[in-house]
Amino acid sequence: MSLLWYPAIEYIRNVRRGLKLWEWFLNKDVLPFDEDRPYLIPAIDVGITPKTEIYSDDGVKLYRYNPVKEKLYRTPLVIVYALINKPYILDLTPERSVIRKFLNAGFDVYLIKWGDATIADQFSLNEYVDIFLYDFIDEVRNHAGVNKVSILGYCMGGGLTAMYSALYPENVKNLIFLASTLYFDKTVGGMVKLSDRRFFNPENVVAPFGYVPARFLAERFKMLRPLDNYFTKYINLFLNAENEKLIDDFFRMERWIHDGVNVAAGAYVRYVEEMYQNNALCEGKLFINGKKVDPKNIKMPVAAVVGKRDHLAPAEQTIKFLEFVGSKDKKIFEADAGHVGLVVSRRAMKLWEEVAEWLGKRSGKLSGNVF
Amino acid sequence: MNKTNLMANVAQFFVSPRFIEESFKTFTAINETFWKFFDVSYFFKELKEEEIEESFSKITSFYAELLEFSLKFWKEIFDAVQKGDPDEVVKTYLFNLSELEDIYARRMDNMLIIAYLDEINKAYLTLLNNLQSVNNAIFHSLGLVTRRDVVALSEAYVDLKGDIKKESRKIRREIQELRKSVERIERRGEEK
Repeated sequence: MSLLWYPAIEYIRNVRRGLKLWEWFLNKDVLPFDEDRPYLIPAIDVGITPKTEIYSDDGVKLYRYNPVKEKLYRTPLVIVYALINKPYILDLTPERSVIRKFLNAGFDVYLIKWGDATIADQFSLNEYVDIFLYDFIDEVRNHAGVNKVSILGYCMGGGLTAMYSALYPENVKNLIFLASTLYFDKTVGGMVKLSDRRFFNPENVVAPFGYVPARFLAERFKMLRPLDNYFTKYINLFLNAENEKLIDDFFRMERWIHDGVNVAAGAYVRYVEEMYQNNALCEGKLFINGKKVDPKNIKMPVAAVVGKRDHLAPAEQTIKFLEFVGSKDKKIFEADAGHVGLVVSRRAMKLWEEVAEWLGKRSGKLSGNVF
Repeated sequence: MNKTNLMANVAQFFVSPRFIEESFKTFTAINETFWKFFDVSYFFKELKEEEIEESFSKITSFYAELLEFSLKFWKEIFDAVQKGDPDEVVKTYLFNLSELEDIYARRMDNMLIIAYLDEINKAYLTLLNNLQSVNNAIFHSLGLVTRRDVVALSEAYVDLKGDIKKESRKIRREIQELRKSVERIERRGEEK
């Protein structure tokens, strides 16, 4: 091909790409936006695995996913999501769903969704761990008729899970930390460096709002990879605009990134100050409602699922925490993926089968039909 | 005063030691202020010397890598165009974009950039907070409720909720203990 023809060909291809994108947008509604989420987000389907709400308290909800096959394990799995963003990332599409992986493996799966905090929700870590998490795990134990549950904590949910498990180890059978920053070391960089106490005071964030707006957190995370988040990914989208499946996946991710939730002021301030700035969990300096959170109390089997390319919760920050727990049964599952890729990429989906197998061996296999 | 005297006075004024001293002091002050404007250790006193050095070294390396990257990028794009496959060009372009992002993220992850970002963030939040304070003052003077009041009410609610939970758990524990005692007594009765 002549070099002279190339620009002409690329130009007409760009026209086609533009038309395809336009066509895609014509077919979609836009989610209503508000002051905390001032983004135009296409209303694309996410989180479609059926679930039933079984308990609720102050906007925090407990769901049980409807089983898709016979229950094979006695111990149910409770997924504790982060206080930020929405949990549908774990169930983005039927083919890329961590929840479905566990349901298909025969687990009874529950999910704690923290909900959107408002100015009227001045909850701190004390309430999230010692009231909500405590009550909700109790509710799952009653609902499933068991004494212990397995918990999977994603991202910040991993931190809350670690605190709960250290305080109430008698209620936890197995523990999985998924892309959770638990050992806060500045040398690894990322969000820990960005939250350096010399330059960042979380009180400044909550003072004008009374809570932490979703947009503040979304932009803060985007700042860690600005070129990608503000520029190159949109170019990538445009150049691949003829692939409708890719546009669907792109906007599913866009929806998740921008459709975040507000975080309660007290919880955010304490989490940043105690965890990010003081590494209080690992150093045994954390107290919840006056009770010391000692990671040595975590003696149940523990697994860490980490992404090699995770820049939000670098793998080292989860793995290092395992040195502080009292458990002897530890396992690391590592995938060549980022923070989100760990739960949505095709490559990581294979890893989840291994995780389910590991959990299955420790969840009390049922021999008979329980339904 | 004649013309010669005036010239002599002006000359005396300019060569006066006091004038020279004041001029020198002012010039030094201007110079110092100018350099302070570019001195990051003046703005970010908390940054350690080694952190500043590391940041500058990373930023310099970024420009060096950028130059190297751009030479490689144009060569690869040119080769791809010559192959005559537009998809190959797009692939090369996208691959290089992701490489550029990696270089940028790696080099910009330094304390100096973070200090600047956090400082901008702080300025924005302080501005918002001050606006809120003015707003609160006006609303309170009109007898209206503000964010601050809602926060105070909510904190009281959270305290109350905590107390209720604590008490209810205590009561539940006592009920369980009572139930166990009753069972024990019943069992003893049955045995008799």
